[in-house]
This record gives sequence, C-alpha cells and structure tokens, in this order.
Amino acid sequence: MAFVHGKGTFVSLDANDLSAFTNNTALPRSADTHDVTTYGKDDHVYRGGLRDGTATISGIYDSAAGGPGAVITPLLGTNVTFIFRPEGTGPGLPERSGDCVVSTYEETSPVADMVTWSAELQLSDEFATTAQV
Amino acid sequence: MNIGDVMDQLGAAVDTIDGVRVFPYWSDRIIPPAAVVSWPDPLNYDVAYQRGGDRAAFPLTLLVGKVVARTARDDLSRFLDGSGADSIKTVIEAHSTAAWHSVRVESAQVAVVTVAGTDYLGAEFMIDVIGGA
Repeated sequence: MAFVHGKGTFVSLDANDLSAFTNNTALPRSADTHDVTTYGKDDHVYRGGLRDGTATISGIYDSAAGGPGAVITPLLGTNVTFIFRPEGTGPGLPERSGDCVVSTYEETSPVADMVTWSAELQLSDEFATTAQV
Repeated sequence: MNIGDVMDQLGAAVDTIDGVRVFPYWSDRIIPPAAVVSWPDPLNYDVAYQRGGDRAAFPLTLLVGKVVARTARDDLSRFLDGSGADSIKTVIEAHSTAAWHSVRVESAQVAVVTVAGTDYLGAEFMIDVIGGA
C-alpha cells in the first residue's frame, strides 16, 4: 500500500493535455438505487441500477493557445473524451476515461489573486478504469 | 522558474528608477537609496499538475536615508506610491521578462532596517511571482 500525491495527476479533454493548468479534479460517481422491499421484511431492501457521474476540473487560467479558455470554450455542449490519471502517466498506472458532455465552463477573476477556471463534465456511458500500457 | 533569474529581473525593473542602487542579492554594504532583493519566502512548488508552475513571494527592501529625516520620509513616499515613474509597484508590474508568467507587488511595510550597524528608514515590498516549472 502506498499513498499517492496529486501533483503528478494527468487530465486531458478531447485529446488536449490540460495538466499544466489544472490543480484540482473531483470525480464523484453514483448509482441509482431501487427499493425492492416486499412483505415480511423489517428493513428496506435495495438493488443497484444505472450508474452516473460528473467530473469537475479546475485550475489557474492561462492565456496560451492551448490554455483552458481556448480549449474548453469551443467544447461546451459537445461530447468529448475525458481522461483522468490520478497517479500520473506510466505503464500499469490506472487511467479512468470515457465520453462526457462539457456542461459548464467558468472563469473567476479576483482582484487580488490569479484568474482561475473550472469546468464541469457530465459523464456519458461507461467510464472505465484501465491500466496504462 | 529560476530564482536567480527572477531576482535579477526584479532588480532590472527597479534599476529603471533614477538614482536607486540595485542589489539583486542581499548585500551588507549599501548606499541609500538602495533596493535589495532577498530570497523568496515561501517558495511553493506545484501550483498545477505535472510541474505546471511554481509560486514564490520575494521580499524587496528599499532603503532610503536616516530614520528621522524629513527628506527620508519624502524619499520613501515616492517609492511607495502606487503609480508614477518612481513607484516600485509600477516599474515591477510593467517589466516584461520570460523569467516569470505573472508578477504583482502585493504589499509594502515601512520599517527601520539595520544594515552593517546603521539604521535606515525603508520599506519591505512583498512581490508575488508565478512562473513555469
């Protein structure tokens, strides 16, 4: 067992590596639950159903052509591939990837700090975990 | 982000102010008015994934004449001004260099600074610098 630091995380959207502009990723997954309780039971009984999930990526805004604004803004409302490597890039390390809809993109500009950005992605269809080769 | 390059460029920016002697390193021999760039504190690595950048706070100490002289007060005031040709904030934030991505003079604190046993009226400017890894 080994704890893993987040600094080596890799994220890409529509084949654009956004790692150098990103400092936080959240990937909550969920599943529907269906109540199948019948007579004679004292407690609810459930079965799992369809899975769902979103991803939120955020970081420091960069004005470069490959920066988050230039890359993500045109993708709003479209289906693209999102790749998340929480342990970084390397053979055998996990990669979580799948289709998603870019549902929101937000830029925040405080007077006394760096401009930041965040994007929310709605996962679509299977979001698989595989080992990198 | 090369710390020495940043210190040199901070010095180069202040060197555009007439009459200020600039030391992009700590010196124990100064003739006021003098600007001394100190080591960053703190130096924070990893503002983004995959070594996307580092962030550091650089102290720059501006020393004018003797503490109790009215002329020292007037001299220091022009360097503390938020705008103008003698403004530390203006010359640093207007300076163009590849040594950093972003620079901001965040604050200044007036203090008595002792150098080689002599007290000088001065101000410590804190400069927020973000640069590539």
